[in-house]
Amino acid sequence: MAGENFLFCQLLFFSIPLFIYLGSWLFGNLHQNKLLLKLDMEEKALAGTANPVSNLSNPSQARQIDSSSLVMESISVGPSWWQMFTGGIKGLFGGKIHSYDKMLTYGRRVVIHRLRVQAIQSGFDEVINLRVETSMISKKSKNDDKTAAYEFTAYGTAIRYSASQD
Amino acid sequence: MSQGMHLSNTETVPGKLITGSFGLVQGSTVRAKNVFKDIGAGLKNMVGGELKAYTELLQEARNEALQRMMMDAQGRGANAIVNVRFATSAVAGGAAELFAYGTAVTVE
Repeated sequence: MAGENFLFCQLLFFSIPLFIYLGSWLFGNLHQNKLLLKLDMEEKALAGTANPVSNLSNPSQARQIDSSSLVMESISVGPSWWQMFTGGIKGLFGGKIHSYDKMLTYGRRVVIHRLRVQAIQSGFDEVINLRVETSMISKKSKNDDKTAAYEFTAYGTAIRYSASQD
Repeated sequence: MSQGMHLSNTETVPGKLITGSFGLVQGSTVRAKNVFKDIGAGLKNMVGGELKAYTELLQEARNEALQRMMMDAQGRGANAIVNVRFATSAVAGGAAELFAYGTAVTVE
């Protein structure tokens, strides 16, 4: 009887990582799909309005400018453990790594969307010279691969045109 | 943004004329993550998505770097900074360096 118990314990012990990764896959997918859906809805709500954000280096209208200021937004996102795991396996063979795509595109879309919302809310007519930067936030050490985060920063110059038409 | 300092990441301050240049100004700060936040973020990483703790930390740090850059420019008697750029780099031990730089100028 004792031997069977021991075997059972061993089995349980080795299946813990499996359950963790399965949980990460399930809950990660649910959570990330929820985030993407929310962003989709927010973007759709703004669909009819003007999009003031561009990466031109000069104002698009030759009107008198009232004021300008630097605006920025940033976000840190990370892939789930499951995505890191599958990405790591794919990395052995090379080629496309789809598992990282989801959160990277999400992060970039979110900062640009937030910058647009910020510009509209603070009454700016246009944001020019948009830059989006990506940086990886370091792991604590080589064997601590449980934390991975990417930071996206979007910044640009917001412009308010003066009210008078000239 | 603050103290009437004009900031822009274009070559000029839109709608204003540059009258003098004071050279490169910069500001930087190194921030490390708090251990508890680190553990929290590590757990949040299980499902992925936004890591709010890091977002806030880096925003604070970037504002600090901007403030230092503006102090530098004020010390030189400038009232605007053009061509502002940001750079983030991960230095050892889970710390990140936020760096802001630009050209200090005076506008009319």
